[in-house]
Amino acid sequence: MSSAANAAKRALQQERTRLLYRRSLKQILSWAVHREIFYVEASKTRAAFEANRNVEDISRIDRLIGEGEAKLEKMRHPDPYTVPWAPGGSKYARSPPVPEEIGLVYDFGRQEEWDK
Amino acid sequence: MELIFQNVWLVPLFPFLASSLLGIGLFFFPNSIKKFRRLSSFISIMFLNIAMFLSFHFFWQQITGSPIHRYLWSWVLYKDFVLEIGYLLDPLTSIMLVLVTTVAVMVMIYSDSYMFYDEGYIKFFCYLSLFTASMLGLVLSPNLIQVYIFWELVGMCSYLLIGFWFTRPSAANACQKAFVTNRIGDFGLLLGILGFYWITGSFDFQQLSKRFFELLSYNQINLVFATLCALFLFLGPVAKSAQFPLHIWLPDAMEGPTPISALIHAATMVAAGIFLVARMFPLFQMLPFVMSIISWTGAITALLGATIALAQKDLKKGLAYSTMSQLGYMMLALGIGSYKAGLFHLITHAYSKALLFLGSGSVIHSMEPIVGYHPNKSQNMIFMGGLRQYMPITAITFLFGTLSLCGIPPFACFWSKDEILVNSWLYFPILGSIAFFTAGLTAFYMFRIYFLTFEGDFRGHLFDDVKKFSSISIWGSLEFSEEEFKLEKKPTLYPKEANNIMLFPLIILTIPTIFIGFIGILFDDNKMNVDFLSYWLNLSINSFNYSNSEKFFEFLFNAIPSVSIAFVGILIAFYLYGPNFSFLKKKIQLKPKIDIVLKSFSNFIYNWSYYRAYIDGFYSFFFIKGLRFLIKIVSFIDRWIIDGFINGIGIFSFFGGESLKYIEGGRISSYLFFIIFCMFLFFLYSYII
Repeated sequence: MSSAANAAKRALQQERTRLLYRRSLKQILSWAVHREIFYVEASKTRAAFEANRNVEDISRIDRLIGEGEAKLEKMRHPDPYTVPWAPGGSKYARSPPVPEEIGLVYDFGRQEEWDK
Repeated sequence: MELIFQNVWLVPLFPFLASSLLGIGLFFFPNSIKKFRRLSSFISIMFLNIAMFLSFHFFWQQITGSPIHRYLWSWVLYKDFVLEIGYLLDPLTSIMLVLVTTVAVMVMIYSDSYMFYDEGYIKFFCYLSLFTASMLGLVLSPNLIQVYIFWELVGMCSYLLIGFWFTRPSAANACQKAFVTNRIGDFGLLLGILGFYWITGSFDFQQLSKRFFELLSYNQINLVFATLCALFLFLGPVAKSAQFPLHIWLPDAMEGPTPISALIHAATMVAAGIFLVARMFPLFQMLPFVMSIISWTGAITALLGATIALAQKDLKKGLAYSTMSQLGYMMLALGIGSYKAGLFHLITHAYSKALLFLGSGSVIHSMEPIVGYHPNKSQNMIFMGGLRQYMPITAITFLFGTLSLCGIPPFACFWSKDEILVNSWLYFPILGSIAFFTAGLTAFYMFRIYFLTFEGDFRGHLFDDVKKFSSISIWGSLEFSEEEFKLEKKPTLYPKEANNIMLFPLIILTIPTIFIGFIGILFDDNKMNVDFLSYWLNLSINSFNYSNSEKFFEFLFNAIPSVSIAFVGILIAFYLYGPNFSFLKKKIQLKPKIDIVLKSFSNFIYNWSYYRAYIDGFYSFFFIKGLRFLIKIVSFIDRWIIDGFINGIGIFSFFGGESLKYIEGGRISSYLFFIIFCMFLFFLYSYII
């Protein structure tokens, strides 16, 4: 295979890997409702990707990416998490008012003074 | 006075004008009009109030003896074919006008507060006014074509309003489902309309039934064809009024804002199907098979809706299935020939259900800041409970609506539902049994909803004490220490009563919920021996002579079984879901075998409710997956066989040309070789032959 074709293939693999990683993180966010669990699972995912960092064989890389994508498809969340105020979220365009019981204290940067 | 009757078209025109003004303003001057939000809602409500006052005036004129008015204009004129548009004003129309306008005004006032912070506030009122105009146009229609036009319009408005928050996938899917399901019904309706035009040569309601009667008398109609046309025409009301098997869209339609559920999916649009069957009643009466289909469709729908509503956890979906069940009652009544009972129940149910839905909206509004804005949380009755102490006015109005719907005297729905029950029992005992059993189920699930929502302790703060996480690990088992992930205590919010703007419609709607039933009561001292509603409706259908010979006390006596079964349902709901049920549970200890049987039965009921009687799953498998499989086959045939044939001809001509190209090589030796080879083959062939 010529070096140009090789480079193009490697670039495609890098892009696929990047997309797979980003989509994995978004899927984890849908499954792991609480942030602490998300950090744990995200770390595990990162470790799984890092374990294959030094693989050089192109066909093996393609196989690993294919397995990752199949696993991602299998674990796809039926109702992915959406930020409530983003399009698709439950609060989008609804502009709900802040309840009266919750007081908003605008003391930007003065938290240290309060702590003292 | 004639002048005012010539201007009945003003009734749908006013809300249409409001909708047009808001729509044009939003389209051309979006930034400016968004600064005048309250003015926009004021214009909508004011125009609808004018329509309401006009409706009340026409209603009064009709019930005090004014004749039926019909004004027609020729729209399409071609040789013998005439298509007319106009309006028909008779007592049925006037009753529907009053019903639609009163409920719509209450819903609009309620929406002002409910949708106050929504960015689509003005768009909402635009759509709502358009829907009201379409619905009023539908009830004023003098012929089937005009009904069809407004039928489609209300379907389109329903699509726009269900999918109001369309960025949410569930809302987008729901509005699509509603529209496609109604399209199936509309297709049948169109076929039926055209079929009847073919038979009778008219679209007009009165001419249609008159000519059909004449043709039937002289045996000039193919009865099978006429029955088929009637069944096709009935398909429209089946879809619109959420009858089995086209009921699947109604629970999903609860994705829309609650005022929409109250107006469209409880009181008005779903009643359009009942209204059309009532309009076509003189014609359907001449086809006994069709009447039988109508009655059985209604009975099955009533029972199915009630059974699915038994274990719903979503407040609005529970009320949606309740609506489906009550619409089944109305269709049952019309199918057995109880024209007045069906329409009576339409009126009483509209007010009661609108009240219930607006009450549920008030509950949802107060729950949202506490549990979240997703319908799975704010509409989930598991997180409610004890709301009566926080929202007393909402609770009491909701209780009135519940009592009415359960058929408890003297509330509105008791009078109408009991008439249906008695008439269905007299018509055919099996239908009567289904109706009676469904009445018991209705009382059970309605009070289950009430107890779960308003009684007991508030369960919305379950989030505060959650220590075990519900998430699952996707890459393996999750190990963590509980102390490491302790949540900080969040501030505690409690539900609050809705503001006065939302409470006002609730209180006003309580009045018809309690008193509207009295228009159908037969009093002994009534000289005509007919109640008010029968007298009004008798003027609409000249071919149907109605006389109510049942006395008032006889009616009350006949109502004892239905009220009893309702109380049984309420008692069971109280035992299972009522306050202090744990106290009762301690005293009543069941044998283990009975306990096992009850648990498996309750599991069955929960699964039946959760999977919606498995009908949605069946449709998904049979129609959607089946259609996709068929599409794949057709796509394969189209791509590889049909296109393959065409491509094959092209490839053949291409390669044929390429190969022929080499024949004319210019070398004489190859020409000689070819000729000698062909001669050799010829001699060989002739030698063999």
